[in-house]
Amino acid sequence: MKYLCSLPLILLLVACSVNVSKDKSSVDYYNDRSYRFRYISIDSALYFANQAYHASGDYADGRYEAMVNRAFVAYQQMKFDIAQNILSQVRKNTRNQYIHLCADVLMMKIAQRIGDGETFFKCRNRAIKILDRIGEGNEDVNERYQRLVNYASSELHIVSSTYYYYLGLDSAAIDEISLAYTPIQDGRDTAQWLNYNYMLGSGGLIVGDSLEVCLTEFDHLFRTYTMAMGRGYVYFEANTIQSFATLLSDSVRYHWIQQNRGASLDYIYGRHIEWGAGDDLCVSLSRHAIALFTSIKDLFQTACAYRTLGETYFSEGEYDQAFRAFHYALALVEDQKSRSSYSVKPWMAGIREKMSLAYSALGNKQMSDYNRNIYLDLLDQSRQNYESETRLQELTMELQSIRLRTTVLLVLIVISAVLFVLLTHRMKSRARVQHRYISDFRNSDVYRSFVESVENVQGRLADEIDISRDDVEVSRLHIENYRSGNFERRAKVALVYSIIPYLDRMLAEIKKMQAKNQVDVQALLYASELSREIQHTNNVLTDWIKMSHGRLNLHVSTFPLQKLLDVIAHSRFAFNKKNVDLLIPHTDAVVKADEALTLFMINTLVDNARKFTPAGGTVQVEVNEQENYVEIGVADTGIGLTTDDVAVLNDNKVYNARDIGKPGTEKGSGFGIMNCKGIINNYRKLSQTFSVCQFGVSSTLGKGSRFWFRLPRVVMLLCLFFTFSAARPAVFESPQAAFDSICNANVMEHYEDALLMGDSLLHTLSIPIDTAFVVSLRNQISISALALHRWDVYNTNNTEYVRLHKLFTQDNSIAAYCLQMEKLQADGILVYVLLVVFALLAGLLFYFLFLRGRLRSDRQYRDLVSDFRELIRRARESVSRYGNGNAATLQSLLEGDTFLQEAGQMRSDILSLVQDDASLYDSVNGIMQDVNNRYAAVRQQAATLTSGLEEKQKLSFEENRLYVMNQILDNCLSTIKHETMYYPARAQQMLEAMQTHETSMDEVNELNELLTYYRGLYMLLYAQAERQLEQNNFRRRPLLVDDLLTAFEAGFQKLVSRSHSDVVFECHWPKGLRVVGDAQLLHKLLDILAQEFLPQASRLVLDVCEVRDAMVEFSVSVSGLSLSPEELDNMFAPSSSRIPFLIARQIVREHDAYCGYPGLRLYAVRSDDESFSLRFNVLKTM
Amino acid sequence: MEPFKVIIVEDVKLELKGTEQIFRSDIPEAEVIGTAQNESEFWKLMRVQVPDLVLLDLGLGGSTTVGVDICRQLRSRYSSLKILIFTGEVLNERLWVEVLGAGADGIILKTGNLLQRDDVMLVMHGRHYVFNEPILEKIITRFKKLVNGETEKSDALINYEIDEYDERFLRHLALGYTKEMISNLRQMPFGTKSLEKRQADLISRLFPSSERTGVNATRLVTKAFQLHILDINNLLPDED
Repeated sequence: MKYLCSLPLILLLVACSVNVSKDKSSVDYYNDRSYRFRYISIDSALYFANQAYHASGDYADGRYEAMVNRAFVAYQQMKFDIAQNILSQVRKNTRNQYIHLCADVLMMKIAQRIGDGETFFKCRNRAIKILDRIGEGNEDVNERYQRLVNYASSELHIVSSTYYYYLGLDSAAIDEISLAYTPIQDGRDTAQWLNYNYMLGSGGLIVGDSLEVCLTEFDHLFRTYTMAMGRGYVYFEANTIQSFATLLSDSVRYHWIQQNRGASLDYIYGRHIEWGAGDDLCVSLSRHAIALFTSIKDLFQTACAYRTLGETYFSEGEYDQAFRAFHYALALVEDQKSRSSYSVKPWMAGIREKMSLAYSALGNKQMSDYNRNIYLDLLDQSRQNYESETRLQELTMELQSIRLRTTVLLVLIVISAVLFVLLTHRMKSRARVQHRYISDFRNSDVYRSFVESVENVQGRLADEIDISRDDVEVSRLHIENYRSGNFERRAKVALVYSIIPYLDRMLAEIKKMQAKNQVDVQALLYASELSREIQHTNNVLTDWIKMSHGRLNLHVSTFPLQKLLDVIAHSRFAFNKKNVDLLIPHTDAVVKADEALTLFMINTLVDNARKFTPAGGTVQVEVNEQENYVEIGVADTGIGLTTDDVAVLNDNKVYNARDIGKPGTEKGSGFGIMNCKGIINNYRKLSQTFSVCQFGVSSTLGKGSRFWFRLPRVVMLLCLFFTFSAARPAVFESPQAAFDSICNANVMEHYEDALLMGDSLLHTLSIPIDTAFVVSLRNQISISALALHRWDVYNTNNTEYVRLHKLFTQDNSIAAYCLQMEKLQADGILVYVLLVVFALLAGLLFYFLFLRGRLRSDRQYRDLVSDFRELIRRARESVSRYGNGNAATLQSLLEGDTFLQEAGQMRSDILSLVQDDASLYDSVNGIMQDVNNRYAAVRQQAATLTSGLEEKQKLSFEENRLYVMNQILDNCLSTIKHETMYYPARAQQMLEAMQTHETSMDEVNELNELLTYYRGLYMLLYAQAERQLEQNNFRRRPLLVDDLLTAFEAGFQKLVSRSHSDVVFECHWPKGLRVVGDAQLLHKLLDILAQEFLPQASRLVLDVCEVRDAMVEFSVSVSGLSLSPEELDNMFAPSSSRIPFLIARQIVREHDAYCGYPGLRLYAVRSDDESFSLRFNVLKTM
Repeated sequence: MEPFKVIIVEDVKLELKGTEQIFRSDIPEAEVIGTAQNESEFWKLMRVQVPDLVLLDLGLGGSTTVGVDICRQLRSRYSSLKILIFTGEVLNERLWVEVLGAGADGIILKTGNLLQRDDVMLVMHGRHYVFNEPILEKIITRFKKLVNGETEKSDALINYEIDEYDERFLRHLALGYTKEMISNLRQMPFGTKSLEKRQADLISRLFPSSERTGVNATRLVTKAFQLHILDINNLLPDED
């Protein structure tokens, strides 16, 4: 192929050498001169190029070479469009590989300068290909062309090195520059040799210790400088001078060079003394460089030299001068931009950046920002085209697929050859495979993953079911405890009530005296006895309350208030019905308190507010977080309260709710507020933590009220952490948040903060988490540093920003892309042609001989498999939904789950496809049955879990209800105890005083007053407690005596053995008896009766028998203990020593009330001197 | 008045003392022939001598309602015996009804003026249903409420202009009849369309305009109960 290509070239050369030898030599001469003057004088180079062009005549190669030289001049003048035009003409019209090579290399230079990566690599690849070709057949190349080749080869590597260097790919740049050395090592091409040395000296291409590198670079530069000066290469002279200026501007490097290369430095110094501005060598060098570049009309480099001059001034703090220099550079840039359709963006960007710096230094922030924005825009525009990368990937894939297709093609050819032979066999085996696929479907991934999800979901559901069962069990135990506690409190309330008759009798006696207006001593004595009895009962109650004190404490926990507010939100319906708005805030507050009681309090206040707010009003729940406490308030726009009422509510522990509010308006019992106050007081008694707890009311009559209470606030650890980090800007919740703060700080012109935060953030990012992120961060830091005139920080960050920006946006694949594309074009066509031919042939054969026959059964099979897979996919999808649901979602899932119906329909469709094939039918049917069963099992479990969760919810509601009820009853009882203790004692005192002297009616009246007040207060408090008992907690069930007594006997035997007493315990009952009652209470009753005398008795016997009127009597006989008839009569009277019997009494009373037959008995009866029995009866049932 | 014999049943000694004192000072005609603190003592006394009057406390010992059962037994054995209940169960209205059903001649609550001569005398003169003031107050309150309820019904019929067809329609709706079924009743000469109209009309009469939206048959019927247009105790279908 390549011989074919080079053939016309050789023929052409031979022809030309004969006919145009004279013209040719002058053209060659001009071209050589033009080449020679490239870096000496642009005008001369252009002149000779034009000469060569005009003299070329028929000598096409000479003409095209001249055109390349012209293009070079255009390139140096930054007329890139002209240069490109010329070069494309050259490429179009000549087939001379050498000219092509030179054109491509020049094109690379242009592309490098204007930042067109794609063209750069396209030309580079072409050039390399030509070089390879020439390298393989170089024996025939004449000297002139060899020189061109050497030039092009070194130039290619030098340009590539420059390209990579500016991309930040330092190692690639170094590799390239080292390749540039070989073609020019003979030193015949002075320009390239200078170019090579200058490149090495200009920095960044030598690695090692920085000071050593600095010396090496200086040496390269100095060598270039002296040689360029000696031979008149102004371009390189100017470049080296400029590089000296840059190199020596660093004081450390300057001193190091002075120390080691003092003579060379002196030489440079000597040569630039006349350019000096004082002693400043760098300024002199820069000025000289500018003068030289101007002389050779190199616009690009002149601007660069101005920039260098500006930088030198800038580093010395002469911002005015620096600004002026940058301004010149900018003017040149702008000039070029106006004349050419191509602009050199990196070049412009560099100058804009410097302008931004200079403006900033001169205090013109606005212009500084303006220039920096242009700079950033230019950087962005000069980034490479991403599309190429994507295109490359696509093309690569296409190539791979074409290769694959080629392989497949070959395989297909082989297969199709044997296909004819195997056709019949294959048809059979294929059907077999299909059968096997179906019958082995249980081993397929689809099926296995379905089974896996079923098992997963089942496992998860089973765990949840276990947990919910445990929870239910725990709730049940709690409820049992609370219920038992509740009945105990009921007994207490009954005891509270038992003093009322005494009080009434006292009042009746006094009334009689008042009626007769005569003091009756007997009556006074009787009243005194009664008041003692009242005190006695009060003492029993006090002892009892003391006894149970601390047994059931508040359930204090830490919880988020929002949880309770969500529950309160459920009462919206009731509010809507009354046309009152209920506003509930969102809060993150976390408090420490009893959750159930807190809910009760909020609920009470919200309900109260609703009651007293007319339609159209608003009830607002408020949560105010303070340092130590959270205040929960309920404000309404209701009828409000008078100042006196507010005072009563705030200051009095006990008050009569009927006295509160406007007369004639709807009233609550007032116990809600009293209960809330009681709860808050209980907290305060509990621990120092709750000292912040308070309850209060504020109100304006007619406008509304606000009830509030305070609970201790809990600061969560997480919150602490955030507060802590806010104090230290170095620690942030997330890098992105920190970055946003930095940007904000910059926008708000808080540059110090931005810089500090940016610096901290940069140091906290131990690994580069995200290049784009670091790029932006570096930019933000640069902005802050620029504004603060922190040039060192600015330089570090901006350099890093530019480097990262380039790295991040570079397109490494462009070079590869171009190569791939070419291969693709060649391979692609061949593959397509072959494919088409084969496809036609094979398609026809397959269709007629095999495919047509198989198509129908295949289609059926495909339908079957896809339906099948779809069914299982859906099953899996539906099953997995059951894996993560709570009670509500599970319920709605179960209700909305139509999978089994859909599956039924799909099943009949699928089975209709295989109805002709019995064995297939069976396997398909079996699998589908399996899927159905598994699915149904999951549903069953989900249903079990749902009902478990509902049960749990129901029980926890019940649990909370009983718990709150008990707490409130405790509060009521304790208030009764505290608030009423004084009165009977005072009455007693008065009565005793009356007995010592002649009593007057005044004293009697005074006593009457005291007792009347006492009764009123007592009844009020009793009513508050009684109200809690309105709810029935009795569980009436028909019970088998066998069950009741078996459980009791076992428990009691254990107790007996644990008590280490010698008591004999027996239990007798007729089998099959049934009674009506509450099992838990009856068990407790038996326990109380049997346990009371366990320590003293020698024998305890429990007998059960039927008595008249369909009653069953339980009798606990106690032997070995002698009690007087009076003791037996008073067995169940209030007494501190027999408190459990008061509970027993209450249990019988509850049975009386709820079993529908009054007249049940509980009494003690004497059997003989040494024994008695405690008996009670309950109703028998069938 | 002729002297008469009394047995007092009271488990609390101190109270017994006060009661005896009342008899002694206010009712000298009464001869207390015995006092009992528990059930067995009482039956023993009864076996010795049957009094004219038994003053019975309902709660004895550990039982709070044993008096009801004792009263029932006494009434079945001694039909002419006067039984007066003297109890501290001032709130347990159900118990009062039970004990009246068991044959008590009256109930005196241990509050207010307690036991008064007049009440005992009324019983001895053969009056049934003797109550002291606190219990009478309660009875009267309840009675008033009942009467007021009935008044409200007749007022409602007038106020809301309820005719016999409206009443019949609402009553049958409450009993779960569909409109079709109601239209088939002999005394309802209306079709379903016209019943629907009547329902809409009733809604506009019984509900203020702000509450009319979304009212269905159930809500309408409930409202009729609330306004006493329908009587829950008299909810029977027409005989058809």
